[in-house]
Amino acid sequence: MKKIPEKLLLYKVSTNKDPESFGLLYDLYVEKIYRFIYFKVGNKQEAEDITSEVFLKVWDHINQDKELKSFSGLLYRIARNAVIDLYRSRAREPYILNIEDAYGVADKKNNWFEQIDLKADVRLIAETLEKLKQEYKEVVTLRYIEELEIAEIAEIMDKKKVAVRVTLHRAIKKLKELLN
Amino acid sequence: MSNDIINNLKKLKHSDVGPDKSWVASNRELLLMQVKNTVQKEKSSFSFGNVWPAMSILMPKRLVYSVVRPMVVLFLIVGVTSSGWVVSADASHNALPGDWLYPAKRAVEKTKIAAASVVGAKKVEATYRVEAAKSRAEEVKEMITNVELNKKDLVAETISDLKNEIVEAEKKLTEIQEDEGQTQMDEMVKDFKVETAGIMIALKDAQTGLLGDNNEDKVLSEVLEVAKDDVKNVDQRVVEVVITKHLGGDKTVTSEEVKDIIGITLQVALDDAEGSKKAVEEDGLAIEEAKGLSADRYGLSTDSQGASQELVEGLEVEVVSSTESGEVIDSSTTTLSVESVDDEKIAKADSDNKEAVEKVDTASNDVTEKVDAVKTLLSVGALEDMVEKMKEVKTAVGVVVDISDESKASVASIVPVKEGEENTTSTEGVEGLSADRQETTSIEDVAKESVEENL
Repeated sequence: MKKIPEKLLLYKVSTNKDPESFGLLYDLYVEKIYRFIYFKVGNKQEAEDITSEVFLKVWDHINQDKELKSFSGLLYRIARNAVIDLYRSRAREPYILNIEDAYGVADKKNNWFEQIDLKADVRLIAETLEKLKQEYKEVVTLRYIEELEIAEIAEIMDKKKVAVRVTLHRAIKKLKELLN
Repeated sequence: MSNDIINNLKKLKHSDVGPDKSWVASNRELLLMQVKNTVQKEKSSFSFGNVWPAMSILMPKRLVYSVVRPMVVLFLIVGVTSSGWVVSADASHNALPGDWLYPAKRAVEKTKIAAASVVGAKKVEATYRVEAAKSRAEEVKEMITNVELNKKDLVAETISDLKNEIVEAEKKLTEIQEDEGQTQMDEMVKDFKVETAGIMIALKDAQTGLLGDNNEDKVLSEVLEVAKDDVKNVDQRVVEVVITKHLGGDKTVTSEEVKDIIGITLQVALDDAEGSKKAVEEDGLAIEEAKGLSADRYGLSTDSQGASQELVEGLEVEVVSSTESGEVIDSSTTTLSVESVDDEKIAKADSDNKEAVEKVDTASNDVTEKVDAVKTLLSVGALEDMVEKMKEVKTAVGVVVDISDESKASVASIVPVKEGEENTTSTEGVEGLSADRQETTSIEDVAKESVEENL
């Protein structure tokens, strides 16, 4: 359940196209979106670029009077698509045959946990997380790091809530196996 | 194990994985600058679609979109539909037969009656029937008195509808009477009395508008007379039903209330008789005025033969003028404008009226005697005998009213009401006649002026 001030900001943004309110929403979400993207791309510069692009796309979406069911859902969905676009652009690089390979390349290069100061057990989790397949990694990140509701994750991933729960359960199970 | 994993995952959120503060600020500034450039200057007007996001501030979004919005939409649909119906029904309130909104008016009435019938509310249905009859009576009055509407051909049909409603109301009264249960009738009787009184007034006014000397008016007048009798019957019937129910052990109407109802009924009967008697006497005054008018005209005729020098001159001028112009002007042309009243008719009307005065006096006394007898029976509590006596009162009042109506028709024959002229009620007979005389006098003046001009 979102707090009333956030809902009020959303109302002002969606009905009045109020830039100041959008700025306040930016303040609320910028870190989360940045982190979500950073975990995926493992690159600070790319994470910043994609974060800027995400907020601008969200504003365009609102400015076009398109339906806004969930602001956070929209943000994460756009962020997710932006990351996929990045993977695709990497996949188009010479000698890379398909997107799956591109994901693999991206994941192999994504050692973000090595660049920050983490406790040993947390670092182990982060390292293991990177070994999960993209879908599992994403659902675990959204649920336990970004602490989103199942419904929000379902909207972001364009899945049913039941499917999200199942995926999450399998992801945690896989994570356990890898940790053991 | 799972909890440990989850806790460690949550710790990642609080780790040093965040954007630089400086980048956040500069990016914010840049973003807002880009955003502001795309904002349209004009202020958005109110949109109903914004209501839902606004409601979502205070309520869960799912509740707003899944429950509140469908309910509001449904409410609005029902509201708009029913208000449209109410507006139409209200607008149709004054519709007359032949108007395009008239079917809506009748549909509302029929719906009310049907609803009462379905739930078995006999009292309510009877009252609605009488209300509908009152509407018909007012329509009849409007169609007759307002000649510009040109709806006279629809009067007979409307009177027929009125009678049907009265017949149905009477049927319901019979059902109520035969019903052994307790029936709270005091309010119903009051409503009934008010409505029937309204019907009688409307029908009387309508009948006054039918004093024309043509056959159509006479037929309609007779039909109206029958309708009035029907209304009187149903008015009487409701009192009978109350008394019968009371005698049958229905104590929802107390003895005092029965006495009040009967008291009102008797007073109405006395007022009817008294009003009719006065009308006959006023008819006598009208005939006297007509006689005086006729005598004046006769005097004018005599003067034309040489009695009054002034008028003789006028008449001579008329003759000379006629000769000079070379046209044959019938001397009656001048007198035609003052429409002479047949002396024989006046004499007959006078004779009829004198007879009517005697008759109405006797009949009126008869009514008073019978009313007194009813009051006596009421005081000793002989309600059954009283019911029978009240029927006699009704008959006696009918005799008085008939005499009055005959007298009115007799006077109308010597003071015909012109088509399109404003009608006067029976109590305004004398004034009506005076106005009529003023009208003929003014025509006389115009005729005189015409003669003077020809000079």
